[in-house]
Amino acid sequence: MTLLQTLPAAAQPDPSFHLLALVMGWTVTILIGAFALAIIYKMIKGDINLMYLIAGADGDASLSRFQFLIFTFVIALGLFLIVLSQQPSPAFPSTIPGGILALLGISGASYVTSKAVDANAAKPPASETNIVVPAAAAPAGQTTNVIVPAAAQENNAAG
Amino acid sequence: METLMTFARYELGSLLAILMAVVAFQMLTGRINTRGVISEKTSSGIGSVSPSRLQLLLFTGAFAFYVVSQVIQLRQFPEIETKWLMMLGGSHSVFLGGKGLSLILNQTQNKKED
Repeated sequence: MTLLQTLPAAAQPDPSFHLLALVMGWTVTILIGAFALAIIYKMIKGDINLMYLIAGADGDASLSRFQFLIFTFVIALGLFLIVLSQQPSPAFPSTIPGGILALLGISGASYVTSKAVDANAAKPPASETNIVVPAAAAPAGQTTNVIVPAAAQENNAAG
Repeated sequence: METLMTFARYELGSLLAILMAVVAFQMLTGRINTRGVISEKTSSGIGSVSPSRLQLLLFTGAFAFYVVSQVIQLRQFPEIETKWLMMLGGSHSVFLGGKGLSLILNQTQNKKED
């Protein structure tokens, strides 16, 4: 209570703090813009290969990945528009309706399930499974001959 | 501070728009592989057009358009009725069921050939 009484009624913002916030704001904004531009430039140039952006493990396009990409873009665009439209200054929405979360949940769950089905399809049948049996240890006192191929010997000599 | 906020708005909007445009352009020009997106996948490769995939693609497009149009109109995320969510869930279930069934049929066929 004593502390509250000692505080001024309307605290004046420190001008140097305002300047610091402004500098930090510009720095972060320019940095994010530069990073994003660099990524987009590399995408356009082809250094970042997007060929398999919506492809499955087999290399063909996957509808589950495609719908996940579409909903991701839709939610990102929607969130951007909503944040900008908040008054008096841009702000995140206070609540996100359950329907939107359910939409994302359905989309994500479908993607994961589809991936699980693909992984199961890629698994080889039981008859083709390779079983590696470790070699038995040599009994004590018995000499083990190791035959080194000629190519390996040449490599060792060169090294 | 006003200048910074205006700059940030234009920057984020532009970057998001450019990113979407790059992905859309690369899909249309074939640099992003879209081969077989609505086709059935068989053990011998890509088969014919799959109805379950086609209906999911149409549902996805319709839902995406609905959400974006509502956000532009209301300036907030729309409340989506449960029946529409159930329809979307059903659409995804049909797609996944078809995919699972196709997998089982392919495996059965492979066993018979062996």
